[in-house]
Amino acid sequence: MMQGNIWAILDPQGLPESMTLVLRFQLQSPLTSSNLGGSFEQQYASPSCQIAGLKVLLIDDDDINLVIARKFLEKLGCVVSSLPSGSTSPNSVGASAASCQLVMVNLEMVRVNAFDVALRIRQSRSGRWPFVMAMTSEHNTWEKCAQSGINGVLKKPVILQELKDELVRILQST
Amino acid sequence: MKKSLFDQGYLDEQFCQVEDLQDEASPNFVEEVVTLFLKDSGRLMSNIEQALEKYPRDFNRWDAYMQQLKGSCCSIGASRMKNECMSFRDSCGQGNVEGCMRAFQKVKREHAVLRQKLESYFQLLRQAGATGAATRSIK
Repeated sequence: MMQGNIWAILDPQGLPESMTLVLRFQLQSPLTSSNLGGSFEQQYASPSCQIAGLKVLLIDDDDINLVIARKFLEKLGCVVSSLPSGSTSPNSVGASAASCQLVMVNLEMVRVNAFDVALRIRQSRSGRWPFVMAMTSEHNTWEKCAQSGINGVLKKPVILQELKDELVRILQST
Repeated sequence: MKKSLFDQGYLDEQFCQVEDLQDEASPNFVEEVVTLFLKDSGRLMSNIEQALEKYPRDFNRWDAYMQQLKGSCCSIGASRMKNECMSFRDSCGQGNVEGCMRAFQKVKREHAVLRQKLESYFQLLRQAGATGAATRSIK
């Protein structure tokens, strides 16, 4: 219900040594309608408008995934670029990511550590952009993703509505 | 025919997601993706075949290759093939060489059957389009 997780780290005797609780909170925008007065409608574009024109960088080593993910994003109005497979060196990723607003990265790439890529993007980021969204077929990766500066997670196979919902959620929570 | 592909479990809901992406901008999207999938997966499978021979008991390597193939199957909705990929990965996890070999043969078989069925499906679609048949959906 609270979309959280709790786990205990056991010492060698099997007794709980420490416990960790992780809760996901949706950040509410600090601006309310009473602050904005008459310009409220113009301030808040609908979620679809926020997505349209979004510059997205896809990082994946699988051609099928790339083609399909690209088409999903283009359907939502995004402008999509992708790294040529094999060119995920720190410099090329940093340069490509810098000009985007969202980087979508496949967690299960063979030769590339997606968490490294995400960390690098976060470190070289100045300001709000880019967000990083991970695609994964594993469960329970959210904590590890959060530690790497990843803003959102999508379960594979990607479904259009879930992609849209997750994009809206990321864009609305700064 | 499409219904039987779903009923017999060759394809799942994800294939519908891919079909929904087809539009005026890319009228042959599904066939293009399927063609790419069949070609790519063929390449991945021959990599796996070589790895099985050249790197005996290298379960990590085998599993890494198969993870990629499974990912493609998943993205396109190739359900039965995906299941055999998962079964191969299970055998890798158990260090079971026999199990891997058996599962790989099944993956190859599912790939061949799927290729044949999808090629027939697209051929039927082309014929329906060419003759301007009144019934657009092929059951």
